[in-house]
Amino acid sequence: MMQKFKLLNHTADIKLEIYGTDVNDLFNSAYLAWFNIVGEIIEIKNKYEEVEISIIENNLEYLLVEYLRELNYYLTVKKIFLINPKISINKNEDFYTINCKLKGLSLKDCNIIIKEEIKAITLHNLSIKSINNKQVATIVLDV
Amino acid sequence: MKISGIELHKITDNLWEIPKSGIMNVAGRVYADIEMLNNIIAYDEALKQVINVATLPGIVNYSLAMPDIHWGYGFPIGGVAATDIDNGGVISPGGVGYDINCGVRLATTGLQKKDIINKFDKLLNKLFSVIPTGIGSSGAIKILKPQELKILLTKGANWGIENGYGNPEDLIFTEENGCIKHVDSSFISNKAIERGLDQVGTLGSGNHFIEIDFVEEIYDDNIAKIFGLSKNQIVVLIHTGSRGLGYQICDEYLMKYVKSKMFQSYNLPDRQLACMPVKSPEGEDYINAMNCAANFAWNNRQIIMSLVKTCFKNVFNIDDKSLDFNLLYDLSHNIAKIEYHKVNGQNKKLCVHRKGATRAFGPNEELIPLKYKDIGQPVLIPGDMGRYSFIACGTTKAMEETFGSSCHGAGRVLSRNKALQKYGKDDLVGNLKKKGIIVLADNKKTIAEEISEAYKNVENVINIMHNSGITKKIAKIKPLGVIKG
Repeated sequence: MMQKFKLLNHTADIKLEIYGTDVNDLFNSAYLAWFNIVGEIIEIKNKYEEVEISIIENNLEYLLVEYLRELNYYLTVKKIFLINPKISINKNEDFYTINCKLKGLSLKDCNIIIKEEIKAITLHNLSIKSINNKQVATIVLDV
Repeated sequence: MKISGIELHKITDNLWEIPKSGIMNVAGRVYADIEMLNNIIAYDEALKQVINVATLPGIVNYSLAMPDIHWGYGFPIGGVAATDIDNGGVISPGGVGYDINCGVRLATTGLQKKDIINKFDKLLNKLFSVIPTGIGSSGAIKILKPQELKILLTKGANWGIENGYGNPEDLIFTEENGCIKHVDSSFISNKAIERGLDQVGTLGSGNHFIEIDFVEEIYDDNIAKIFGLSKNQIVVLIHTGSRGLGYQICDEYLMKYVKSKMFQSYNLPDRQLACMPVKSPEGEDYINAMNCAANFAWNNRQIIMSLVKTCFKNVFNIDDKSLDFNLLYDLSHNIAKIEYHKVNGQNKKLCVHRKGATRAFGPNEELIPLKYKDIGQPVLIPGDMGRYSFIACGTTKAMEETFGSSCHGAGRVLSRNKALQKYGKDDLVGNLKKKGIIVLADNKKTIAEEISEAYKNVENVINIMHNSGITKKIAKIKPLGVIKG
């Protein structure tokens, strides 16, 4: 199975290389990277809310940044940990859109360990490239 | 000479210049000795970021790096850059950072090391239970309503004082008196407001901390006396910032700027350097929002300090007079300020970015509290939790060379991931206890990430500043107990 992401060296923060077979898969891998850095689920109760994230951007890189920012927003403000993303990315003329359906777990109701606070998704060294038929993103997270 | 492809000219033993070339508007200057310089180049890409910052429109004199420099995003951490406001000078949200007005404050007490040892565990546990720490920490005080938070953003640390958290004199010893005035908080986005509602008076995570230290060494008796410092005295060091509200503001303006036609015309080497002219509606909007976040941060440290003081009083059952708890100084190390400095002999209105750098104004500067006027502004330089920190003061030379700026800490040498891999399985709490330091944290991971070995020795860093005449060393303090975020 293809590796989904790799932590690269960065002195103060977290630098990630993320891999996908296509753009949808790349965003799924980015979710997995975020999940692995941020949380550890110990116990889930069978209670969740449906959450839908929709973002429009004129650039795929900024779409990725805004998507990860939204996951963080739900966690830090709404205290909801999002799981099971069903991602659909489309390109319409000059814009990229993401529609993503997720399950939202309330931090109050579930036993979830938050391992790391991601302060921000930076634009430093940000890139998405097509390399050997794979989509490869590089992104630095401020922690 | 050339190190790893970067041309460096020696100015003094502690100062190196990267000559202006290519798209750089000015040269770069790095305060470091040769050993430190080799390490900076070996560990990361911080010097490339010094070069990148030199390309900012309107930058004057030099793109500066303090000796605690390490790899950041856009700017290096430890970076200082001033732009000429009347000549197209820009403001860069990335040059301030996400944690707007992250900073440090130090309070002195009338207690000696011997006075607190018996009840020290109780004190630390009390602090840990009263002050919310860690990821997304919340609930130090009641959760505010959006309108209440918007008022707080216009009042800064005054809000804390008005609500019973501290004394009006605390404001005298806070940079900007704890509030940048004439800000309009109605422009702050709902998301940023939402992120701040439950985080007033919280420490946060990562390298934020509350430390109980004692004064181990004094280098200048006269100035130490004016600072209210004496050997073996207990002092409190607090490090935190504007929390989620600041992160959100930086996010929003960065994205707005990077998409603007003006920024695209600048052709800068890193999108994290996104910037706009200070004299533009977009530049003014960010400065207003940044100042609101700065006010949040000053109030945050004010409230935490007040909560710390109450814990001391309760645990040791003493009154205000016996505790003699006073703010020595509070300063910011992630901010951009509109200041006047001399450039080529002319007084210029500048936008001074300090990204992981501390203001270090010398004697007789207008913005220094009267008590410190003759000696220079106190400069607080935290080290790491296993060694020591320093108290210094600003100098006239800092005004001439660094826009009145100094280093802000030790500077990382190991990434968090490497520190965790290398030391994550060690008994770090036990090892620190053997050294006489008690550490409490939400999780063991933070302690491994923040281990001493992950940082430069702050003594080497402050010595570069002291020997360069940028700051003057006054006292060394050593931790007895640390609450980590």
